[in-house]
Amino acid sequence: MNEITLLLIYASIIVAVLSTEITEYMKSASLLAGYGLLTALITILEGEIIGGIINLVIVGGIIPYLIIRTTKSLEIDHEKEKFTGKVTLVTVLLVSLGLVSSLLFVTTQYDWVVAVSATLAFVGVFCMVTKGNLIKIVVGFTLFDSALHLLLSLYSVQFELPLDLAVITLATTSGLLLAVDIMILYLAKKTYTKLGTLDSWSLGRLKG
Amino acid sequence: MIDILIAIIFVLLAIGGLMTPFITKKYIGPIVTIMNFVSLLVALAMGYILFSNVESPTTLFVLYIDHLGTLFTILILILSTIASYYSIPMLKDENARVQRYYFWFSFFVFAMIGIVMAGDILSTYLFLEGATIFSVFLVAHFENAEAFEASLKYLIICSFGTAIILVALAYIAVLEIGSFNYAIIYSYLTTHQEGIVGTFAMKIVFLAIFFGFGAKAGVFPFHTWLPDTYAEAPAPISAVISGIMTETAAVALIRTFDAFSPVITADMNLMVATIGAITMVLGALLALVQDDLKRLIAYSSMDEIGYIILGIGIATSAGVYGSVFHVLNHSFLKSLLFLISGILLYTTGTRNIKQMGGLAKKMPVVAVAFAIAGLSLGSVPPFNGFYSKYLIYEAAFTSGQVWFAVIAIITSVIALAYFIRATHHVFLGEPKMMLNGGELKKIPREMMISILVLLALIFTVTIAPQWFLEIVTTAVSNLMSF
Repeated sequence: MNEITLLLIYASIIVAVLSTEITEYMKSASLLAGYGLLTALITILEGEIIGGIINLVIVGGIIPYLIIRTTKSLEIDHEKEKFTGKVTLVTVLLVSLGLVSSLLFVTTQYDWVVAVSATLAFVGVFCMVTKGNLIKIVVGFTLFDSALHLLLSLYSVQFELPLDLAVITLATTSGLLLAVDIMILYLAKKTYTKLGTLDSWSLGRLKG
Repeated sequence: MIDILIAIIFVLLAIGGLMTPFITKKYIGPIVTIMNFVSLLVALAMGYILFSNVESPTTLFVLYIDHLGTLFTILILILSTIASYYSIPMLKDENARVQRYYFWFSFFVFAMIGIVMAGDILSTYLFLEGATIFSVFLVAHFENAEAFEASLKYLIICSFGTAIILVALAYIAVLEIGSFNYAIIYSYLTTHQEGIVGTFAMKIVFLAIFFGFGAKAGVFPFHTWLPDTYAEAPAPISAVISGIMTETAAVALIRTFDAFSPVITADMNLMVATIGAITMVLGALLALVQDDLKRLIAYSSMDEIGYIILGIGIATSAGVYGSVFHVLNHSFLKSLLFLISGILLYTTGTRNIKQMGGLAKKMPVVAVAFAIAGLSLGSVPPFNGFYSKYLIYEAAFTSGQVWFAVIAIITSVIALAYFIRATHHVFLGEPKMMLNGGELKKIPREMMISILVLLALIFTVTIAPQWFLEIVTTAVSNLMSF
């Protein structure tokens, strides 16, 4: 892993956090697109070209476009909840902890891939759990799922998973990510039309 | 031959689904029901060929057609045929939604058969996610606020759970096995245990697999989608999701554990059994305080899934036999209960058990069916639920995990208590206010026949449990590690 990849990894974590924190949907979706581009570049630089392209198209293109389209059709441009900085704070703590522990424990690229994917997946899960907004749940789920794709992509190169199997795996799992996001956006749209809110907390029982 | 037969089943289901936009509303239900029924006959032929050893298990593309998969294909198609038939009167007053309902229903059944027949972990993942996506439209069928709420919750939790399975795929890449096929993973792990058994990475992967499939089965802490989904979905869909889909996730779990069995350690099994016990107790306690009949049955499903997971966690052949046998019994019993809840909602207009009462006089067959299902799930002999639960108790005792057996027996008593409570409120005592203007609507013929068929199946298992147990034993013993 060279310096450029390392730089891209840090940039992707920052962009991922910002996409969950920014309250304006347009900016949030654009940042998600940026995240898709960065992770695609990481994947391509590490030698998984097809996986990178799939990631770029789906996470960097289609999903942000669908988020923008959905919010535009509902004529809403930002979430009601104000900027809290929770995700940023927790991620900064996590990355700091990761950096300290990496100096002590991380010795192989194998560990780096896990650390990066786990951090990105954590950002996604934390967003899904702490943000009640359905659009932000889509963003969080995309970050979480694509972090696991990144893990799979980098490992498939590193451990020489047969190319056809790697491509099939990434294509099908990315396709399913897209399908799930489309479904959540569809249901979010219907929920907003019926109830006038995208906030899952106010949907009462949705919280569980 | 069996590879051709399974292909025919998939083609029939796909045709059934794809035809729906082109058929007039009146004929869609009967046609899809016939397609499911013909598929069932084909599956029975497959079962005969496999279980009488005319042919051995074989592969077809990503599918592995073995005894366990065939047994569950038959089960899926029995219940899908019944649910499809039951849906006909329920949908008679609806227009555009009928086509959509049967379209997604056909592909939902298609995906569930894919789950139980998948020969590798990637295909299982694909079919599992497919089943979630197809069934979301069915859960949201009534298009009211509650239905959207429930379907969102269902989709988010199940998809999140399924995505965790990607961790297992990444680990397989690390091991350089070069394939996601269950049999290849098993043979690799059998010969390369050193450096894998008991490692931190293996434990993480094990957790990912367990909670990935477990989310779909509704295990603790991923159980929160169950009550809303079952309560808001149409009754036949609740019956199919509870009676089959959660069970297919359990089958996927069994297959994956089977492949990873050479490196699964006792502490991992203990964790599975503990989560199973927590799921079981929590489900039973929550069911005890429900006044909404569908939510009560939903929590009861969680309770029963707990038993199935406990049996898998006990990790002896007897435990897994008990689990698979309980999957079979639970499918019939829970489907029957959900279909009865649909009849009660249809005839009285309410799901609240405290607003019902005295219905045994008006619908004695339904009352008897409900009581039998309740007694059976309460583990009262000689009903079928008793046999499978007894196998799980026995497996826990003989493996030295006595506490699990004690918890399981106590939970059965709680299950009996909440079904007695529900039976008392719904069917006994004085008739209470009916929301449909004081008059009960007549039970449609299709709904009644569906109930009777399920009742007949339950009686068959009750009368001849040994025969069904032999089938289950054959199915499980054909797996790699049992």
